Amino acid sequence: MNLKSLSIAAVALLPVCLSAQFLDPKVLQKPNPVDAWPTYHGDYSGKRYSELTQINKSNVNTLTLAWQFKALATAESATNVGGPWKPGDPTYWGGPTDSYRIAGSPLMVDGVMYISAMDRAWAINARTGEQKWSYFFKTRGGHHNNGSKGMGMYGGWLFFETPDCYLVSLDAKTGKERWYKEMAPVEKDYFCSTAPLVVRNHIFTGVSGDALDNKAWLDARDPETGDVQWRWYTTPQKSGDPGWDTWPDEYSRQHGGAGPWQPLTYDPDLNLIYVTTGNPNPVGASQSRKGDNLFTCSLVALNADTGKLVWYYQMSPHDTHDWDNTEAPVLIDAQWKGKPRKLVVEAARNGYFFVLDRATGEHLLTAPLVDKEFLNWNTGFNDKGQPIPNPKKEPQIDGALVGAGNATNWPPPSFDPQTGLFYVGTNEGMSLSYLVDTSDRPEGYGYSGGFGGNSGGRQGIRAIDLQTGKLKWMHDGGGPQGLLTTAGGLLFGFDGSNSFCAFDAQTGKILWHTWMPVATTNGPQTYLLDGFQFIMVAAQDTVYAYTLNR
Amino acid sequence: MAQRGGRGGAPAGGGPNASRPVEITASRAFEMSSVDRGGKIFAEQCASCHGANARGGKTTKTDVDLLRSDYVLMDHGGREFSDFLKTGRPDKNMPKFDLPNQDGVDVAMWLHHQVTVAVERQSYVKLNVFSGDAKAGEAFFNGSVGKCNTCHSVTGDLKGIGEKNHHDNPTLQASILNGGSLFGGGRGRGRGGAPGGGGGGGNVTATVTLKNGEEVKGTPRMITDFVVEIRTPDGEDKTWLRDGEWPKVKLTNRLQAHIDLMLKYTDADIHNLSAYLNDK
Repeated sequence: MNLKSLSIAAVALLPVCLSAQFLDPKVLQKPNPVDAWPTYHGDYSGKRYSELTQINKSNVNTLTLAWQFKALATAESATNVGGPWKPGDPTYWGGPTDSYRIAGSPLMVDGVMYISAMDRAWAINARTGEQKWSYFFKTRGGHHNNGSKGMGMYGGWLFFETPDCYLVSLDAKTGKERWYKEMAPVEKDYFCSTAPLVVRNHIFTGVSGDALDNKAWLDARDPETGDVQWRWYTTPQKSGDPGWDTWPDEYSRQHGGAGPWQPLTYDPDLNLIYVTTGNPNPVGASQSRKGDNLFTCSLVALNADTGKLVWYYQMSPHDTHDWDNTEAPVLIDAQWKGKPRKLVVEAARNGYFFVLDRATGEHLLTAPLVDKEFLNWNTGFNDKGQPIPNPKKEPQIDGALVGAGNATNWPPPSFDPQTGLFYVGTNEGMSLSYLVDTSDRPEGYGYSGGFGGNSGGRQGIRAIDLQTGKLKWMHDGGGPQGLLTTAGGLLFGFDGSNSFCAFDAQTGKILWHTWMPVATTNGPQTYLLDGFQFIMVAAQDTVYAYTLNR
Repeated sequence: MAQRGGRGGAPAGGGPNASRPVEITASRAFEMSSVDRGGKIFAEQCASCHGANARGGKTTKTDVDLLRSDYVLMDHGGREFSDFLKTGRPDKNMPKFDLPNQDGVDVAMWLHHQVTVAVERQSYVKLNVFSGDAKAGEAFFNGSVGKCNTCHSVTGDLKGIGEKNHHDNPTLQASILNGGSLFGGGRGRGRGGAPGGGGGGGNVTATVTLKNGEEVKGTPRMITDFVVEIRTPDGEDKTWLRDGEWPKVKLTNRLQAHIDLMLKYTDADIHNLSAYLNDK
């Protein structure tokens, strides 16, 4: 079956509901659909750049609050309640909490916004912030601190992952539960948080877990039933698989971690999904897993229909610092050394900025993401531009001083094709890292890190030249955070203190700001409804929407 | 039955009508007497094959890591595990164990607890190993890179520093890095006391220069693009809205020498300093 016939087949399976609260599959195929935000990143590319210009440098100073929505839902108050937990059941590795934040990116389709946070979901009117329905999932436990990164939508159906590793499907119109499927057993400390990505008739979901040295995988699932179409394990499963010899033995491969716990990006022309993977396990005590440990801390390209590995690139071979490589793989079409090229770009948690050819995985650029004096963990680079880890900077029983210390993290960056700048929130720091578990078979984290002092490092938003990786400008304050750029010449982000800001994307000058009661917790978004451009951001349990004053 | 804790055991303090579920994998949920009994039974009956820590490995008779085994992880409160012991795995040469049911439950509880201990990293205990060379530490302390003796004396302000830090290497090394206290006040901006913020735990002084040339000094409480707020030595909070670069703010950290050293230290420097200061 070729790509075209697959698309036709996928559309034929869609529920017959071409009215409101239905995502036309054509919208998903569009780059930058300005009147919808149909995926986690707004489109498949991960650029988080909008062509909208109504709000621009000349008028952004009149941006004003249009509405705000406080997302509340309990088992008693939600209009819909579901999930597997029954009275008397215990919970595993966590439990329900009334403290949650909206860390994900709501979808906006047909004027309705779909929000998820941990075990909860809401639909609201994107014009007014008025609630349509809410949903509460009775959890069996799991780590709730990672939260839900958002939903995927297929026709009139919504999908989101819960902290106890269930994939939940809701009817978009009513919020009624269609089904929930266990993705991995919460008893084994698996937890789930990524926003499912919908590509034709595939729902891509990922699992993760850290402390019990689980193996991890990515699934393609059927949107109608939730059944698995194909599964890709993030560590090699049989002799002859790529990466087999980067682990010492079968035990280490089966307990190697590498959860794909952040949203994917997708290139429709190449039909490749771009998957980022987490740290290896045991996390900091690596004596039982000598080798590069593929495909941990990697960027992997898979065929969307088969799950077949097409290429991979490991940003942090043999990581021992818990530096998941789950930062967004941003797909950019740009001139590269005078020729048009399909690129994938990642600002990595290990402190480096990578540019690759996304068709082949060919390495094009590695550059310091943060001030290079903080990057003491690698001795240099190999001929593929991969950092070579310094064994002496692995956790040591008497302590090793390690930087740059979580240079960035999963909150999504942004790329503006007008400026050619890649915007990302960063950290710098140095800390002592101690090996705690010295046994032949360490388990869990096995190390204790983060014991540092002030190193004078900077937190803030960096604007990085795509072509060179060099810093164009930096705003001090902010750290890792979600960002948005628009064709109005604007970058939206948080200043690290109390203000949500619009920056001049070219210079970093702040053109507008508004006081926030708490720091923003997700990436800003924008959409057009009835001719009005909205800017939207969440802070803890509240969503704020802004328009030009009128 | 003693299994208050363990995966799927009877919820501690809960019950069929409990309004909120109990997280039974938290170490606080375990009945430690059951765990302790299980540990003794394990040492007597199981450790000879599975190793004292139940993790298996190349030096044990069997290479099965019980702390990562589904027979343990998917057990609910010892029910399945105690039944499993009654049959064993003859196909894998694991004999059956004719233990009283409660003994099987206790072994399961001990295994569950071992799993939990590895998970709760906030409870990890760092090893207390002084690996440094005290002589080299003394040289660094008085040398041109460390220049620690510019501000400190081992017979003065640092007298007893080893004792104060319980002669614990990680604690002492943290104290060396931090200048004896936690401090903020980097190059970043933010609310006082926040990471990278201007507060600095009293170690940072802000000098605010107004457009008319007036200077006001105090402890920074908030330094942002839009607001400057400090607390003056007499306890008064002063706040200015910011217009561009005015008012100007200069931050001075009394622990700047420690901040500067963070990018100069080798690991050996830190270990040597710790060894030198430990008996002072």
